Amino acid sequence: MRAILILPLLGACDLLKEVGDDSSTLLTEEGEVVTESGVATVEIDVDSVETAFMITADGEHLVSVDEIIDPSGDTVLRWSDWTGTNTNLTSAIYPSSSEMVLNWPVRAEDAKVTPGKWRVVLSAVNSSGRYQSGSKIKLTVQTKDDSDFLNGTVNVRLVYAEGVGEIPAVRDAMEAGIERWKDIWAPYGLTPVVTTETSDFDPNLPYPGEGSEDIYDLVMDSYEDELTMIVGETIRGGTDYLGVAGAIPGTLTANTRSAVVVSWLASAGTDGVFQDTDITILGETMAHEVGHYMGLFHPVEQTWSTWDACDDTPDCTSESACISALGTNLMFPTPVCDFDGCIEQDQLSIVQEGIMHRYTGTL
Amino acid sequence: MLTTLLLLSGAAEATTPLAPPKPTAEQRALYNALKVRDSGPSCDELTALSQDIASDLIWIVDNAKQPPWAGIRAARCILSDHLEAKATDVDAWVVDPEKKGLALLTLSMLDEVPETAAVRFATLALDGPLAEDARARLVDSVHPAVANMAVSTEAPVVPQEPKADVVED
Repeated sequence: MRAILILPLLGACDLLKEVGDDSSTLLTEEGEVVTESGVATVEIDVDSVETAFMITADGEHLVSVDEIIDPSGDTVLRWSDWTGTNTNLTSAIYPSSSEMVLNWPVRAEDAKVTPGKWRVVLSAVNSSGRYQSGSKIKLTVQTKDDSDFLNGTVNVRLVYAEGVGEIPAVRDAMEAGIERWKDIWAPYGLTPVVTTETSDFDPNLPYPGEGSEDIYDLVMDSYEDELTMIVGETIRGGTDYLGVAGAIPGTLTANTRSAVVVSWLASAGTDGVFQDTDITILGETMAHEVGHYMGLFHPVEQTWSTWDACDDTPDCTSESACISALGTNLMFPTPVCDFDGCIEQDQLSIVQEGIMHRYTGTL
Repeated sequence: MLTTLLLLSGAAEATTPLAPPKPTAEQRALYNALKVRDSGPSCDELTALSQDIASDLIWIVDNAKQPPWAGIRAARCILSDHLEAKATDVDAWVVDPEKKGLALLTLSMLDEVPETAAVRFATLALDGPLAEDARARLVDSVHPAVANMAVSTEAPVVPQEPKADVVED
């Protein structure tokens, strides 16, 4: 049996910022824990108006969530219930990075955030999977008080990489794409509020899933309640990636993965001109990638053998069956096209919609 | 009469729309692999899908209009893995305004191709209608010859008349 060291986080942390409108606020606090026998417990005091929390960890080793325990002492998430299965709930349970993000609750059916002391058990392991004692984990805990899971806004800081914002065709296409994105989200009570700016960021964008100090530096200037999207020419020197979300879910604070990146060149096609269909797909791509950032997985991966944790997205097992059942879903892994055109992908299931409303950044 | 019929026959032929080319099974397999949204396949992975990978990738570039990234990804594999075989296709990309996406992709990847090929494409681009787009992307090239070309072909700066200081009494 592992010994668990419980370190009260909130007693030692600093209140950094409180943002939001009259109806909802986002509270950000910071602290640090040290593991004993490989684990450390974070305590989060939840009051009666708080409805979701996010933990962003930055450790000396690979960090993941082992357990979440509610104020009554019930374990509401165990990593062992999800790893090794063909169902994706959150990437927080996988020790794949020293930067870890947990948003809780994920779905409506997950344990509601009730008032009291919540405990989140974090583990620190090395690349061989061995638990590490004495490993420091810096933490940012954000809580939101917003009980409205039917209507929400998501603030997005859209940053054009160097020179990209000066290309009128790209700006026009992005603006039209954002309108498409708003139209996609509107039926689900979600509104992206996008502010745009230019920058001297390298237009050959980094792949945020691997972490990038440049992303960290850029996001340091973002507000605590906004997601950062960077629009560049290429991603990791090429066009293998059209858009990439740094993590599922992604954090609202600055780390090396805290951005969604989008390549305009891949979105414009071989002629380099944004046709109407290109713009439609660009809007879908932005909504899709931000959907990942807010915690949505593909309803089915292209192996047709791994699914998301939404009960209302069918667990189809072949390409044709999946296209038939899920082809119009915003989070389908591939557009459904036949050389000259694509069908619109703008649907979300009720459970997917609920996940997006429970994202701590949805206010 | 015969002349008239021939003319009418020619007119009818000229206005008949061309049927869209049908992909082979291998071209369709490549297309299906290239069209995914988040993470495209590696060029190595694509090789297993076609007996004539270079030509089939060119077919995708020329014929896959949607999603927009399918043709762009195919072009990337041409540039990285099949440059020698398809250099003349790439020559056409960098000078054709209707293939500006391919031109910009090529220019953004010049650091990854051999210097002789990079110089060849840069020369064509700087002499063509996309020269301004090319110059901005070539000036920081890792190939010194390419970077020098971008600088030496830079449009001359028109000297501005110095503004007179305004002196107020």
